[in-house]
Amino acid sequence: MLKTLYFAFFLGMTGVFVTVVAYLGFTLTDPYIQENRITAINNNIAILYNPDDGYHRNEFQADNAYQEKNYKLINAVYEVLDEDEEIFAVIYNVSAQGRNGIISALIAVNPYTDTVEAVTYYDHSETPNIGEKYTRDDAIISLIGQSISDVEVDAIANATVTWTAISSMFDEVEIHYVQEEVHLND
Amino acid sequence: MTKVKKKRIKPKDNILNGLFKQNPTFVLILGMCPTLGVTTSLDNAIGMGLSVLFVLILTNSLISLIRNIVPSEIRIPVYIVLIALVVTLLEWLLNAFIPTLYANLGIYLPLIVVNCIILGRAEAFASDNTIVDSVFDAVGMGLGFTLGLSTLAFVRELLGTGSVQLLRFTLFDTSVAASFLVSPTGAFLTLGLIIGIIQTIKIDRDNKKAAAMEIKIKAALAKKAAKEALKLKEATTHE
Amino acid sequence: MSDLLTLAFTAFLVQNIILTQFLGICSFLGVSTKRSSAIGMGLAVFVVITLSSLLTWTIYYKILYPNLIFMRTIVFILVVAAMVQILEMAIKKFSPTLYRALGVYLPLITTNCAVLGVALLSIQNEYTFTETLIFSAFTSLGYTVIIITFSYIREQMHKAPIPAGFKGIPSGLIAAAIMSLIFQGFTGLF
Repeated sequence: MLKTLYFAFFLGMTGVFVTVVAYLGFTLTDPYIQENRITAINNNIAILYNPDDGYHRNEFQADNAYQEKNYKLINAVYEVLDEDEEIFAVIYNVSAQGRNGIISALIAVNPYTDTVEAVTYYDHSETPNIGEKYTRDDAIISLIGQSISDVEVDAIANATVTWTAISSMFDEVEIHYVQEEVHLND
Repeated sequence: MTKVKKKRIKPKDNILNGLFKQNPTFVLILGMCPTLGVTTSLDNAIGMGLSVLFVLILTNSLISLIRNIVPSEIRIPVYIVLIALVVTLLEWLLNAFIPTLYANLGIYLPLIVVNCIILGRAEAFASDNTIVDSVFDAVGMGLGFTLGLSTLAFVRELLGTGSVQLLRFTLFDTSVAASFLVSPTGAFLTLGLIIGIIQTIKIDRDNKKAAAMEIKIKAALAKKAAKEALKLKEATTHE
Repeated sequence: MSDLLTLAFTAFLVQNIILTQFLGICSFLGVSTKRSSAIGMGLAVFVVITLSSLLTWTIYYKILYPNLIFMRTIVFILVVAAMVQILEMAIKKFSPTLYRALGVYLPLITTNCAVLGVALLSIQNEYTFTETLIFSAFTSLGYTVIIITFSYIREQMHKAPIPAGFKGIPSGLIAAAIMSLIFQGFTGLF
């Protein structure tokens, strides 16, 4: 009996010690983690829109303001503001399973005209000269200007999996765009 | 009653033991999940290896410190909780200061908790050795794990992508690449071949050693027989 | 509904836990040498993964979320360890036959990365309760099917003239490589 009590006491003390150390560790590192997250968003926006021209992240955009967590392929949605603090574009950070791994992309949509403004694949491992062709400039240029409600991705021979992945990204963006009423009036 | 003093293992032997003789990846075959999962690039492999090294040093010294206070009946849950604590702290540190590595290691980082090497070393070594020896053991095992991972990653990255990169420096660059080696199939195949080759070499060496031993024994026996024969001869001539 | 179906097939085949995610490799290589032990281990893992994922999901969202999420890994591993202990005692008490079949494998499961891995992945992927149920059940089913199939292959390989150095683990890994090649064919099926 005494032994059991001692064991319980010992385990309890271990539990308290572990919780306290974990809490301390968490509070000390959390500010850096949040800062990293914001840097990552800024870097992502800078890929498409040069911060020197006054384009920047909407600092007051709330976490999950676009309900993006309900959409499987959408990692995040960023509002990009121009110099006059007006919304200039909405960037979708999306990723989908490709042929050799996850394909991650940024898709910028103009919320006034509902067209694709810019696209970049910032992380992928598609096979060079096959699936990788989708990430080249001419493939991206053909996407720009298309209406978000009906984006057609040109198919490239022998790269069906990559095509499916990229099409599913645009489909998901379209569904989100309509469902969450991202469209803005001038 | 005299207390039997346990023979202390030398620090150098302790480290070499973990690095080569009992290499956790290729000889003990422990911690296979990260071994196969993160060895697509050399950077990730070294990051994973050093993470395990860090966790091992902390847990081994912690457990060695408290080895005399913990009642042996409840030692396993206490060890597991302490290991989980160290791994969680490491997870936040990486997320805060090396976010790219954190993202690349993914699910394998929190899974260091259940890596057989950590609990195995806590149980087999740290729970009845001094803190200094436990740290040496951790360094040996951790470096051995890093060596194993980076060997595998080096082979896979070199043959799979045609070049090897370490912290943005390109070590090798060829234009030939067998990209399947970076895929899961390549992971199993490369590891299987490396372990197979190591075992073959080992068996070969053991056989040679055994053969050499046999020759020695035979020579010794022959010498003994000759001596005896000589003695016998001397005895007979004496008569 | 079709989403759940896709999730189930992805968890079972496309993202097979052993062959593409590399979780639970230690037990996979260690136990798959004999058919009977592979079946025992496979079933035990199936039960433990499904139950523990649901339990950890509930604990995470009902107790830890949102103020104590930093205790995630620590609490999860404790839950898994405790559940394995309780399950072992329960099986011992209620069904000695089942205990004889599974009992030896239960303690090994605590340190099986697949169990903690599935629990953590369901939280990381932000699955709902139903999704967690489907995900964990089909992921562990993938484990069970592969480990049993593999034990048949390895029993046959035992009869083959393999060089001494490649006997056991190395040849097992090479066979797993061929098997994962087959499973790569499922990529892009959905």
